[in-house]
Amino acid sequence: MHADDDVEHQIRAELSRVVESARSRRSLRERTEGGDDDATRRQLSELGILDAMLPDGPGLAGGGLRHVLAAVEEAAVGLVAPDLLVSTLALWTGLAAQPRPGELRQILLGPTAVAWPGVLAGAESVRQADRSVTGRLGYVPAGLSAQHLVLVLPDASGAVVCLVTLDNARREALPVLDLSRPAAVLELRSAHTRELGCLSPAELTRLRAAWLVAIAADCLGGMRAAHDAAVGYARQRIAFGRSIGSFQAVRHRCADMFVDVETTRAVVRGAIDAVDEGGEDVDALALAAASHAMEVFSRVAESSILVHGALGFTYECDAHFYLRRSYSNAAATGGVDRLRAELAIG
Amino acid sequence: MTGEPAALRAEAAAWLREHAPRFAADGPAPLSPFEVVDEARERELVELARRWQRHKFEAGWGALSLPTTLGGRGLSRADDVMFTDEESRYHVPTHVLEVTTRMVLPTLVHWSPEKRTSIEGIISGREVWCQLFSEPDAGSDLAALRTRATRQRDGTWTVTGQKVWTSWAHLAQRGYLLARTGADGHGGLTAFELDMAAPGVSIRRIRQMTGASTFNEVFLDQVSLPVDAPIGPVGQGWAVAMTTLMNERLAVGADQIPYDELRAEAARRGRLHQPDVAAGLGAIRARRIVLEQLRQQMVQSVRRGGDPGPEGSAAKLFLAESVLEAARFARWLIGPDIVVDDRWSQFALAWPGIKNAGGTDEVQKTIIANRILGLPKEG
Ligand SMILES: Cc1cc2nc3c(=O)[nH]c(=O)nc-3n(C[C@H](O)[C@H](O)[C@H](O)COP(=O)(O)OP(=O)(O)OC[C@H]3O[C@@H](n4cnc5c(N)ncnc54)[C@H](O)[C@@H]3O)c2cc1C
Repeated sequence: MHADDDVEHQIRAELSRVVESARSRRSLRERTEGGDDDATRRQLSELGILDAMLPDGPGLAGGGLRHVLAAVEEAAVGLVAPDLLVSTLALWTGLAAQPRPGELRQILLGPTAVAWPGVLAGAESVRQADRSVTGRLGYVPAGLSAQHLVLVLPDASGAVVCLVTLDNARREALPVLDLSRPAAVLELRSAHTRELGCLSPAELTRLRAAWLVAIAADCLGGMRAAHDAAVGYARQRIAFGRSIGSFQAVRHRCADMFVDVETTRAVVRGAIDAVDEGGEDVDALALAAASHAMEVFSRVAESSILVHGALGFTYECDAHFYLRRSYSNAAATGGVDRLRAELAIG
Repeated sequence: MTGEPAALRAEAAAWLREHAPRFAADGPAPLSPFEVVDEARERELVELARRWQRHKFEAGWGALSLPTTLGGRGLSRADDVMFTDEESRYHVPTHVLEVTTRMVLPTLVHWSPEKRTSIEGIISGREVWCQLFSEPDAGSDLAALRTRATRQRDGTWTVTGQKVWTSWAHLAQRGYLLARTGADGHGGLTAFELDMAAPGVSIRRIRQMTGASTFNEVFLDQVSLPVDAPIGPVGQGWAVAMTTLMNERLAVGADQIPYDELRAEAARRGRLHQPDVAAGLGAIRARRIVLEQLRQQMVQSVRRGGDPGPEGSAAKLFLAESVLEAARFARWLIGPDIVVDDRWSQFALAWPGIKNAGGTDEVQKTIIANRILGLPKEG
């Protein structure tokens, strides 16, 4: 059973404060045009979120995934810290490969992008030769500013994890669906790489589970916000002399969204614990969490737009930023169907 | 002249085959009305639409259902629908004139046939209209609108208020305005004709979630309207508006479901013959066919002299859900490529526009439950 510990509680509270303060300064529309402002960046870096994952002795004795994913979830509530999810994946992947401390520092300096052909779309053409990689990465979140890229390259005996230097990469900003998470196209021509380590098939499975759960946590944060906004609007918007939240069609829509959020919360937290504690059912839990979270995030975001009427169809309302995130999250991981098929058949 | 419907359809199809291609916009047909276009292109499309309307009018296809005294052919509204169905096979840019020709025109003809210049302005393609109904605090509950028109001593009117979600206001010469001239509620409303260039009218464009901007906020500050501005009798605005909304339901067209484009995209990706892809496409094609038949039924009842009636709500609901289904299928088909902002991701985001325009799902369902099923009203 997952129970909030004090650290997790504190991380959530601190991130909520960052989100609240970002919201008070600039609208989401402004933030998606210019990214987080300096104050938000400073607050986030002072929190040292990623440090929660670091080993403070031999082995992984840090907070594990749970603490950093609490931060990922809360950041997604306000769609702040666009690079936090990928930086988390990069660091977690790096740690799994047990690199030397210097290499770890480079990942931590961030933002560090990630790529894993077959797991995250857009990296299928990447090829490794000697100490370099070549290929085109069609969709790299954080790719415009990242110094490094953590690359997982599956091979016959599992996978190698490499750290790719992006000094000479050709980068092009990509017009993206998810406006709150900028991305780039990267062209790598014999980019210098360092091998961080090799992963066995079992380690790879656990790593993949962590990636899926991280994306599910991002979905959970987004759907919480979309739901809260819908309930708030349903309370306040008047039609026919009453609050629209008093019409059964709207009430039920909001209640359906609640079920979606609570079921997701349960399965995501269960999956995080399984990853942290190395449970045997980690793979199934992660696939269930990710496929459920992706599907219902889209549904909740769609509902939230509808509760807002025509306003929800415009940039005057934040609802569509969450819909964009939801559609994008589901697509980037190859779609819900693929995860479900894997859950049933393996 | 009243032709036999099938013969008229064949005649229309033959005429369109010869003339429509010359007025087709270049480039691929948009996947939804909310695809992003830049301003220069938008102006081009409006001009093309107006020239096309003029061309139809001169050839006798511009206003089939209008009485001959008003420049029409005295046919049924059903024949208009037949013609627009045939017309929708071509990529002629009619959608900027949809409010003008399919909603404002029949309203004017029904309630104010004496407004000959305005009617002539529409059928000849000279003027674009917009429909100023919704307000920030009056959407589904249209009768709550507060924009006020006050009659002056000399019989002219002064209007002050705010409208919102006004499609094409930024392109329109004339506005069809619903304003309050009397007490609260349905009884205190009057419809007006408005010159959009009049002093006191200002427009702010609103950005839609696809990135397009087809509707606007319209501010009316002490705008003066002439004595003959009302459409229909003063105080009858609600009835006038209902005529418009009835006609809006007739405008529900299957062409908003881009089946051909989805099929072409599946073929382009080499996936047309995968069973799940084909089944998905088949489901969308079936919805198009169902919708066409539903419309035929409404058209039949119009031909027999009835109104489109609340059955139109079923068509509107089914259309909006079909567009959402098509958008879901597109996301599924396109897969990871949808993360990039392009015409397909814009299509994936366009469905809420169709869900809201012309009344939300909830409102349509309430009409069905109240007016067709006669169920007790919600307390
Ligand atoms: C693309 C587009 C084009 C448009 N063009 C025009 C135009 O040209 N001219 C014009 O005047 N207007 C136009 N509109 C406005 C449109 O008519 C309104 O959006 C619509 O009537 C809904 O009103 P609203 O947006 O204020 O939503 P609201 O009425 O505020 O509704 C909010 C939510 O509450 C629900 N709700 C409201 N009342 C009830 C109820 N009694 N029971 C159950 N649920 C309820 C709604 O279904 C919705 O989910 C356009 C809208 C769009 C999206």
